[in-house]
Amino acid sequence: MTPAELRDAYSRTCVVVPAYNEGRSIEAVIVSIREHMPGATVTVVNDGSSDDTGARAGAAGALVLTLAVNLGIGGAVQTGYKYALAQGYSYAVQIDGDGQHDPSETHHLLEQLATGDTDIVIGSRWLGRGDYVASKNRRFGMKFLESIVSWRAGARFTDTTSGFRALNRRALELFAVHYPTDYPEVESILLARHHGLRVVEVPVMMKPRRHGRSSIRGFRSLYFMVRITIGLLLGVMGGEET
Amino acid sequence: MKGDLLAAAISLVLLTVTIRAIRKKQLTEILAILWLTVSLGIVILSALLPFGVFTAVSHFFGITIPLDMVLIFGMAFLVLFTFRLSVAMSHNSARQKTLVQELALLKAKIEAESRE
Repeated sequence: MTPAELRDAYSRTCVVVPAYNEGRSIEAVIVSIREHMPGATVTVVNDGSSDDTGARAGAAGALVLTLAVNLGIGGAVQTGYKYALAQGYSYAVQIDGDGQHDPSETHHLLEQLATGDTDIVIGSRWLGRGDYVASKNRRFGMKFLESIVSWRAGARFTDTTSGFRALNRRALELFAVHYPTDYPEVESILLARHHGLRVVEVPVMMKPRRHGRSSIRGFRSLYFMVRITIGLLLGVMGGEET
Repeated sequence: MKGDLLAAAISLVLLTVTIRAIRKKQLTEILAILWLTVSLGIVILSALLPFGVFTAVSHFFGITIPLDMVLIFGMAFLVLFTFRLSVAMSHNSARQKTLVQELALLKAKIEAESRE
């Protein structure tokens, strides 16, 4: 992509940042997005935070979509997708509010999307770029999900839990209507494939989170694995009708 | 004899609670009808208790002890009803999600317009 093409792509991109109590890191994330993706619209979905996430995001120049109650990551991200679709953006990029995803890496996603051969691009931290490390247990869980998804999808996926993604309008149209609620990243891959969308991974670098801890830990991770596995095996895709 | 009295007391309490809830409009119509039927059913059953009806009915179903029959049917009712509630709850949370999202989008739209 030439710099002019990239600029044009950014101007038609809506960046969706789901944030729940990320008051301490949200500003840095927005500043970084504005720096590395000039011209892109930054939309923070404030998922019923009890801290000052919304105010800080607004002050940093983001458009803030405020959810009156906490919907969880799936409902929050979907709100951003609905907004991007309604406002006529060509692309939506999801970047998590905890600072794990590096906005300077998004051009890799958009370049792949702009080829027109792909509907959803997932940034994978396991394809050679960067040196992200995960604990042994976490890595095992990811491997496990990876094998189930790869099997069900009939194609190899290496980073099924990555929330660093770019979508075109075709994908937005699907996800604005159907999007999993609980742990959407993994299931949405199969959902998209099920609806005939083309999903591709590209290598990206990811940073360890700056503040806070993953919401998936301890007992939660057990629930996460069981919930995802049952969902994947039963083909419970798309969650509830909306 | 004590058992009959206990059953009668419990069923009357349930009936009273149901009627109070209906009068205060705490229940939707369909659930009001359901609970009214259940509490009236229990009142009638406990009234029939002294006449050995239970024994006859449970023998009809091949259950030796009448109490077992009450437990089995009671349990079945509770399981089905809780399942029905779970379905309704999932349905409601999906609807609530859509409402909260629509609200957020509308709010953003109004703010954008008032800024212009």
